[in-house]
Amino acid sequence: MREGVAWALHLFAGVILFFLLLFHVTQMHVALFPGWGEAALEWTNVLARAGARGWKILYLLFLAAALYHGFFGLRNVLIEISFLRRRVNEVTIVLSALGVILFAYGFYTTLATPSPMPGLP
Amino acid sequence: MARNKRLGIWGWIFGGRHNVERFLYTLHRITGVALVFYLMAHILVVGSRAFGQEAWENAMRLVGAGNPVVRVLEYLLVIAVVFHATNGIRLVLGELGIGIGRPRRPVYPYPKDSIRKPRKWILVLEGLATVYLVVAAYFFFVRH
Ligand code: HEM
Repeated sequence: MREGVAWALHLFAGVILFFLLLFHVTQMHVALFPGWGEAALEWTNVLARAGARGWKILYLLFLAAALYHGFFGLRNVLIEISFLRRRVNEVTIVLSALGVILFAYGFYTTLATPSPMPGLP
Repeated sequence: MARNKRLGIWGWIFGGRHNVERFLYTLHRITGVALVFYLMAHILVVGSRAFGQEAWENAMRLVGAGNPVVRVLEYLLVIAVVFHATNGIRLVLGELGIGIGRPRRPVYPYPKDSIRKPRKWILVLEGLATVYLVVAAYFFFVRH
């Protein structure tokens, strides 16, 4: 991927994260609605989100955007270190591998959580 | 020589002049890297939910959900998130050239909005961030 395209995607992912992450933080910590705040961590509420198709799609988008943005950003920081400046490809490969593994695990989590309603995937 | 101009890691702290953008840059970098490490741990912890209710509740106990000290740490995390998000939007606007005024030749007398227009975003966005964090503090520590 050309460096400029990768950077533009980093910015684009940042804009997506602005909305998704602030929503996520608010839902998890600011009890504005029933099931928000502390209650968001109760198993019934976890399950209700896990079983809904809309939430699955949102979580996968969130996961991909956060991992891409985060690891591309970390790469920017690491390749400024003089010791790693000559090993940009190695840094890219290691961080990409880590990102793909974490995405695979998050993908599994998103799809494998027991469904509250029988028959739903 | 070109080599002497390289500041290396120290350039992250001591490079250039210490204007407000420079401090925001350092904070943006610190919060960004911290969030990557949190994200990795977060994906692993939340993964417990795929193994059923007991695994989930054990994981929540393990990370100390509901513990007052953990709550303070979570609030610090939210500060980092809200700062990185709002400052990040300022950087995106700047990089796309939105709301920062026309580019002009830097000749004396300098146009007075060349600094002011980009900087107003700092006030607007960090002002909103502060309001959010005050409201969030109420829900974190009073009415969770
Ligand atoms: C909430 C919305 C977010 C926005 C709007 C945002 C925006 C940005 C922008 C614009 C940059 C580039 C700075 C530059 O090159 O000048 C950046 C860097 C970075 N971001 Fe984010 N970001 C967000 C969330 C996150 C999250 C969730 C993580 C971690 C998983 C993260 C990690 C990083 C890292 C590590 C950098 C590199 C820091 C550096 O180069 O100094 N960001 N962010």
